[in-house]
Amino acid sequence: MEFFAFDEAYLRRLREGDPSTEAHFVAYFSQLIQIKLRSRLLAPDIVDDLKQETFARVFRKLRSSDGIHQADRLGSFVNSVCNNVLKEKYRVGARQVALEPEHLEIPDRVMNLEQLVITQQTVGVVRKVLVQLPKRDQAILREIFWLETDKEEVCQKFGVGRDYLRVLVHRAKGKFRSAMGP
Amino acid sequence: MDHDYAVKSEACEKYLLGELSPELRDAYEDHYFSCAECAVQLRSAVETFGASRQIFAEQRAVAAEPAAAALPTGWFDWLRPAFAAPVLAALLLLVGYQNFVTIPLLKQSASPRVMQMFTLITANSRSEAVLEVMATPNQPLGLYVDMPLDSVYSAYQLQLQDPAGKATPLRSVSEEEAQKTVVVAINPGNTPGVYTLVISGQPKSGDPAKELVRIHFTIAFSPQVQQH
Repeated sequence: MEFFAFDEAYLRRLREGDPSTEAHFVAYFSQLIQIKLRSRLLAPDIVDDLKQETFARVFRKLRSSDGIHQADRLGSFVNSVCNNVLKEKYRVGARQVALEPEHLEIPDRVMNLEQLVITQQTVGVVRKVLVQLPKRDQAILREIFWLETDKEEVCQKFGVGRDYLRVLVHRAKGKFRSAMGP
Repeated sequence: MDHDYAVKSEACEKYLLGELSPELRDAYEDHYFSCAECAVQLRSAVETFGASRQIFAEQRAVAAEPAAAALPTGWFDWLRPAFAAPVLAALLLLVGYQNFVTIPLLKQSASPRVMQMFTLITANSRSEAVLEVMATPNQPLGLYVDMPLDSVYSAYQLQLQDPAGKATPLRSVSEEEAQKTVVVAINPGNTPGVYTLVISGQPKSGDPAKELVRIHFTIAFSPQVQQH
């Protein structure tokens, strides 16, 4: 598992346009931006548009005279740029992206997991983890993440509370990470 | 939001389930953009549940347990000695014949079976992520497929190429049927490997059929996938 800290040297290389640093930066934050935007239940093509706009603005700022000077704030900066891009584009009938105001504040909906690029290795590991779970837990996860059944309905159908759903997600997450190894 | 709070409050799980308030959601996002450990956890979780979604999509067939038939009330009223004995004898003969002759034949020919189903809907000939199908040897399996619709074609022909390249014609799909997802049944026997579903379109003009798309998928065999 990759634990990466952004330091001054990294920031300098990024500002100077070092290709491998840029590639790492884009790869690292692409995933996080996609996750963030998917949590707004935006379509994949809109997610891509907003992601591109976010990176364009981040790089523009990085290379400007009053650019970013604190390496440890780099992640937070990328997030705030993404927030601004999202808020600017939310108005209905915007030229490039048609978003509804509720895309900023959708309550109680599972993150959009459609059309994620998942490696076959990951699918294989997850398959093994899933079959180890009790049948009822598999069914609950299926309802939530594939059928996207309303969570209250899932709780009623299986006779569990919302806390159980969180615990189940936590357990499955932990089992997967153990199965994938370090 | 600091790291301890993010972990103790199960922010990752709540975020995935869409259960954070807008304020906490924003705070958690600001945190995971800055905290490598939480970023890794969240990415891993998203991949896990994204993969599970793909796996659940493959497991669309659900075995239905037949409901146990309840004996009608009053049945035992028929068991009066003068009537029951010859009736019972005849019934025993009938049951014996069914058990040893009729039922085995029926099982061989027409027993309902639940077919494993997999979706090729998200796969296409340009995709690098090839679907892997975990099948049961010598059992048919079903594939959900969308036709590459074009009004110039009156019908579509499907062909399956096995790992050795041998082509087997499958079904044809009319223009009307092609408007919806179709089910294609195949039986890979016990041959694992890369298969290709070839879809050709039959032009309305009468010109020869034109190959439109090749969908590659891998078949592997394992102990029966657990279904629910």
